[in-house]
Amino acid sequence: MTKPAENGMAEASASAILGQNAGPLSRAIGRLRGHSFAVANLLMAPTMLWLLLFLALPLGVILVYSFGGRGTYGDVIYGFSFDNYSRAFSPLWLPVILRSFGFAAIATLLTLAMGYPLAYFIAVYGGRRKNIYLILVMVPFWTSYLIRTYSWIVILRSQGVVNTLLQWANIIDQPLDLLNTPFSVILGLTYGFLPFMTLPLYASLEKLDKSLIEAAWDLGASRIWALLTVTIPLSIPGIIAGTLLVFIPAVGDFVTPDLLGGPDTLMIGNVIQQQFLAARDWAYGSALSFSLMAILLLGIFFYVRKVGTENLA
Amino acid sequence: MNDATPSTIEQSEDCAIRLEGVTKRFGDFTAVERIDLRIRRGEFFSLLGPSGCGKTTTLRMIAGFEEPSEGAILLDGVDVARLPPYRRNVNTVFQNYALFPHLNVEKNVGFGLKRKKLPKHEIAARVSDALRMVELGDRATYKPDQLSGGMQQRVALARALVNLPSVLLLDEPLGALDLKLRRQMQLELKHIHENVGITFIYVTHDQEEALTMSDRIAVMNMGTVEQVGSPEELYESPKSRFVAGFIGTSNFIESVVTWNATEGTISLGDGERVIIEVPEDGSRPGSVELSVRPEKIRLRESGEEVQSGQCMLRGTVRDVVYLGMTTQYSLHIPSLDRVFNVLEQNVEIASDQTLWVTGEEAYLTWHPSHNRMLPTSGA
Ligand SMILES: Nc1ncnc2c1ncn2[C@@H]1O[C@H](COP(=O)(O)OP(=O)(O)O)[C@@H](O)[C@H]1O
Ligand SMILES: [Mg+2]
Repeated sequence: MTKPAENGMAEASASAILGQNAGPLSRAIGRLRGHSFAVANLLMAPTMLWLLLFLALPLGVILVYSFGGRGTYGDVIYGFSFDNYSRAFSPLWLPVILRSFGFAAIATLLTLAMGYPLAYFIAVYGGRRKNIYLILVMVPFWTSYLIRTYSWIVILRSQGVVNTLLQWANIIDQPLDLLNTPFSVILGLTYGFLPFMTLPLYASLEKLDKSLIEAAWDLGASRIWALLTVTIPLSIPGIIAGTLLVFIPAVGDFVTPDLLGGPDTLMIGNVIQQQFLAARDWAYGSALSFSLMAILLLGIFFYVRKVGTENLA
Repeated sequence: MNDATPSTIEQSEDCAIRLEGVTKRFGDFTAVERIDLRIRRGEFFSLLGPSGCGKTTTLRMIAGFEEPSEGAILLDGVDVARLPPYRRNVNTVFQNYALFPHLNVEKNVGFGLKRKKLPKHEIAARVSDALRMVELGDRATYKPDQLSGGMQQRVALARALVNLPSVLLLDEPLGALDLKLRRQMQLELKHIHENVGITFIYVTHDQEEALTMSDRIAVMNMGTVEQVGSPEELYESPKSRFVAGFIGTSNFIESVVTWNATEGTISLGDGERVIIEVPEDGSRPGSVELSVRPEKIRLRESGEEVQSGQCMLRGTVRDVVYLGMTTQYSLHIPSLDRVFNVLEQNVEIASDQTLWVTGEEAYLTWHPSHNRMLPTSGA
């Protein structure tokens, strides 16, 4: 980006003018900054303390565990070895990890496909009923995730709602195997995480200046084209937030595959859970957790860099 | 609306756009009521009226963002009232500019042309022409938020004009600019209008802006068009009390008239009189409502100075505002129990002469031809 000469000159003269006052001015700004910085620190202190106690500390514990080993009675023997990590990256878990990412990715795409139109509708056409719609989006949170997932069993099992209806309508003879399949797990994940997608999408679509969409139409863009070239690019922050909020917990989820899954739906969350509970190998479980976190962090870093700069550039 | 066919045929007058009986209701509320407008090709046409009178709604119906509840909008002779905005050859300059924040200036301006699937080099050429026209040739790669309000305004203008629409719609485009920049942009807009020859429909609530820029103006009030005319027509011959009061200021007189063969007179006793010429249609209404512009009235020290054929009222000076070239007085007229505004040119004021002062008695006089008879509110 080359700046025109006149502008450069204007800037130069502006800084010359400012330069005369630089001493007292910058000192004043410095004082102001220092002041507001202190206030900000004070305001953040409770949160910082909370995060330190309940996030950083447990993570530190797990990090320490992950280099240790398992004692005879399932206790942790502290040490410093990378054994757990080499086991964590063993080819044994590759299909499980791939499946976890695959299921989570499909669920993320499905929540995006459903959440975007929903959020768009509420933001653009919600009018005075916006808050009611938003509450409806959040209503599932009023029940425990466990209970909501259980209710899918009632819906999907062979004598469940869906199969009974389909048989009654003579569409099928034998009940379909809906439960304990990849289908049911992805469905459960999609259902469970939909609000996490919808709310950030809503937040960014709500902020979007509606006259920009009208401007696009005005300049000859059809509805679909305006969506692709204006609405979606401008809601990318919401898309990033939503996909991360769905994808990350979905990858590590173990409740949904546990309740709705079967023998061929084992996810990495189940494996970690098993290490901590059934196998009582906390050191190995810790190493698996940390490895998953590292992979996710790396992935997020590249994802945000790629999507965040695309179109916005 | 049913007789759309005959009116389409008599289209021979070169109209860029015609509104026929256009009405817009929001629920029970009628924002625009049975508007008829004919806007000539290449004209600078303004919709002028107070806030809430339906200007934006009218413009949005022409742009296609709102569908009329009734009526037809003929663009180049074709009814487009029910077409979506992207199927009309009309472009809008939005009040808040509505520039795409994620696209740079060049891509903003090229947005419409890209949709028309023009070859890349042609888009580039036309975009750079348009940017040069608004003197932003060197800002092509800037993002909108790196530009000042005035520059954003010009990008919005270039983005609309580059598509060479049949009609360009501007909704209070200068509303967000400070006064000085506004004045400058008014002239620039007028200039650009003359150069491109595109029909402009300009919405404003600022009568001065409308008067300086427009070829013709439609004065709107409460969802209806009160009067359409050139700035001079609207100022010199307002057809309603609303127009007389909204465009400039006016003094109003309502009274009973006695007519003789040649003229009517409102007699107020003690030599005070308002003389009314017989209207062109020869009618002699029993009571009338008149308006007189402040600058048509002279102030005299005594009734004897006033010629016999002139209107004359007696008043007491209430306020004096010295404006340099002119002085603005307000005078209370006891016989009408009303305050009149008078604007005197300061040409005759020499160092030895003084202005009128508060409390002084003065005679107001003007020629009967300056009286404008308004339709009485009942009619
Ligand atoms: N979408 C809408 N729903 C309901 N009322 C509206 C809507 N748009 C405009 N109005 C009403 O119509 C009237 C005219 O509005 P508008 O055309 O914006 O006036 P102006 O541009 O002359 O200030 C106003 O009273 C406004 O409140
Ligand atoms: Mg408006």
